[in-house]
Amino acid sequence: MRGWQEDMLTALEDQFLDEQGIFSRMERAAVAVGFEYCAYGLRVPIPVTKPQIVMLNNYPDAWRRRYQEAGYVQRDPTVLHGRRSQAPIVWSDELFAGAEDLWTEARAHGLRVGWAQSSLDGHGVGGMLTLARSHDDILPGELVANEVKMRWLVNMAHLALSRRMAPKLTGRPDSPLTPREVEILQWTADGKTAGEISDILHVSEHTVAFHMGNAMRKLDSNNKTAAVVKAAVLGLLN
Amino acid sequence: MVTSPDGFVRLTLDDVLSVPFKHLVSGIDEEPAPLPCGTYTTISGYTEWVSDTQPKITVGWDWIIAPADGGSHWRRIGLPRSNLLLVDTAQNDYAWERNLVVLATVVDAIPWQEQAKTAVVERYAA
Repeated sequence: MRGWQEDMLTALEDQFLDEQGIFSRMERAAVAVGFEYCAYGLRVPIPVTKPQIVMLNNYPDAWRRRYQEAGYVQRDPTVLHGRRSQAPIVWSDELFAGAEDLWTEARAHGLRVGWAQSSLDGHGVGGMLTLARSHDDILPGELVANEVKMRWLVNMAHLALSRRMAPKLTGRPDSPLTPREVEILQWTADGKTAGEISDILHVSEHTVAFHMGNAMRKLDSNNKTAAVVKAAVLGLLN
Repeated sequence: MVTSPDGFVRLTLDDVLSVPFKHLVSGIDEEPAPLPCGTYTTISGYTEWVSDTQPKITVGWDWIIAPADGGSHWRRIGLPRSNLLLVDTAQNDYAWERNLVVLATVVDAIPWQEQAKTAVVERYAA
């Protein structure tokens, strides 16, 4: 019988498997490493003023509703940690100091023990996987035995889900930016005017405007500033 | 766990994710590729890890210190090198390229950066 690891590998490779299909495999993997609950959150930094957050989880319905109504994602210490660091973190009283109400309610809903790690894909899109259960603390021996598997699951989940979900949320261009378009966006990001860029690249100002226009269209942006910011945030200028 | 006549140690992905790897050696590339003017300086190197099993499994990969979020991040570049050949649950060998690609996902799950950094600092501080 195929193990959960092979299931996750094929989830990455199967272009026809949707988000829910991938998440079902993650649930099975979570159980295999000792956790009854599994949650994945994806944060897309576009639009800049209101980043989008999408969550998939198998938490109890009542907790899922409560978490959303209370807007806990804005001050959940695990989420805040995940934005700062990709180091794994284990739920504890210390971690939730300052968010005791959230911690008390989570435990009341059976979410007492948890481990989480975030992952960034280099395109500004961040994901975080949480593995949780209602009993049995996470002891050091369990982490020695299982943490590489759990970290591997984080990476695979993020690769598989961000590939499916991020393009729809970011408005990433269907056709890639050309090297010339990237170059002109880079110089614009550095504060150069069209005239200065034409001098630097030894092309006419009309050519600079032509490439910038194409880049704006591909990025679905109304002006140069929005195009440059979107391209930079999505990691398209690296 | 045995070494096959062709020199490879064959394991399933499940087995590999359960194998504890220990740091063996890390170093900096002595002759980095020349960079064009105006580009960032980069530091790159290599690291080798070994299993605590018999037979030994060795895995090595190259890394680069890449800028990230205003700081820097040690990141694997390229595919790993190893005497390990992954097999599926039916004991069929992975194709070689797929073997290395999947092994790279295992490497990325190992928290190797701190130990490699410590080893490099100790080695070159003298």
